[in-house]
Amino acid sequence: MDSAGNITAAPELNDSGIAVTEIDDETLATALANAKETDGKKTVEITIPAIEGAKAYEISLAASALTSSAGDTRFVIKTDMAVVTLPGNMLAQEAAPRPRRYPSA
Amino acid sequence: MDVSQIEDEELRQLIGRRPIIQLSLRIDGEDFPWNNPDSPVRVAIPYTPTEEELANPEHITVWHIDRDAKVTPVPNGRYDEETGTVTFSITHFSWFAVVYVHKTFGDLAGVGWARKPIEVMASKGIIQGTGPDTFSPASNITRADYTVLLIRTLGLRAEFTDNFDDVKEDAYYYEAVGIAKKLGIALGDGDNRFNPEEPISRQDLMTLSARVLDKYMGLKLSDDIHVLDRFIDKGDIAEYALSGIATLVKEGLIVGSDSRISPLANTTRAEAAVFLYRVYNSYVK
Repeated sequence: MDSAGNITAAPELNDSGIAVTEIDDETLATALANAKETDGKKTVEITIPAIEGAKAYEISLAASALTSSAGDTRFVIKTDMAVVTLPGNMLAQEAAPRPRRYPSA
Repeated sequence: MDVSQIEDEELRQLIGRRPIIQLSLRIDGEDFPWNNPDSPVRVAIPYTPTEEELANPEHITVWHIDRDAKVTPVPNGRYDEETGTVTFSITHFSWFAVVYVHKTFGDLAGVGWARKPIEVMASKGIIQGTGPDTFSPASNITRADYTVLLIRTLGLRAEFTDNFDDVKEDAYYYEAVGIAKKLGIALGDGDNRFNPEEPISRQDLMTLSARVLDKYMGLKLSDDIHVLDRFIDKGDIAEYALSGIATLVKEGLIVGSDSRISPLANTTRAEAAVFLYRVYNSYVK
């Protein structure tokens, strides 16, 4: 992990060709504590280095990372297949009373 | 993800060598059908376009493919030349494919100025033609049709329970107009009527659009109406439409033609497409 809380986590290839990575709670907590704010959101980058033969990447982290109701965090998962930005409130249950954007129909 | 897992051959060929990815979420080992319109997930897929694609990068877009190989365009999908990625935002997980779509229509010859916006917006799945090969660019667009396009272009959604009295539940525009009403964009005529099948005047189109951009997309409505001085027919603009039109002109979203803003004229389908194309490029990320 670097000083800005960005994590690099080498995956392991399992028998199904899935590159599996687990980010433990402590690492995640430290990363969030050190994360820099961009656009008012603490951003933690998790880089998964490419692994030969990987058909998919699977990243495990505590669900609590994605249930924050504050909406002031985000996690950027970087693999060679895609970069996926997960808002820290994507699993929050509260539906805020504001218009909803639905980019996909 | 491997394209060979798609059973529909025509679809497989359309996707071709382009990337297709599956995103999924599991909680405690169980698949979780994530769907949260309030918290979009942003995706960027590295992509190197072909030469042909690079000549028309706006036609690189994204399709959502469900379990039954049913395709739904993701209107915000686009190629970002700077990062060399195809980016899009989603609120549910599934399969997503990068595609190159060049939709066109046989009746665009007379509207060269609108050809590209119409083709891009149609290729992204935002605008539809009036037939398989017709767009009817010179036809007037109705209030209902414009509302459908505006809501779809911006990807707005809202839960609503009531609608205008003259919007029937089985109308194809019921949802879009209901959303527009709920969000305070469509105000109707004071008698709870929307007149959905009427053509929409240019000033009403601009007013409605400025209102939605101001409320939800970060446009600031301006009271400075001096930008309208260059239009010889600015006197035709209704009081309620002045600020909205002035703002859109200031932002370059509306340019008028031949020193006219033509506020009372009906809006053609071509004009609506060009306007929404500009809105898409300025406000939809």
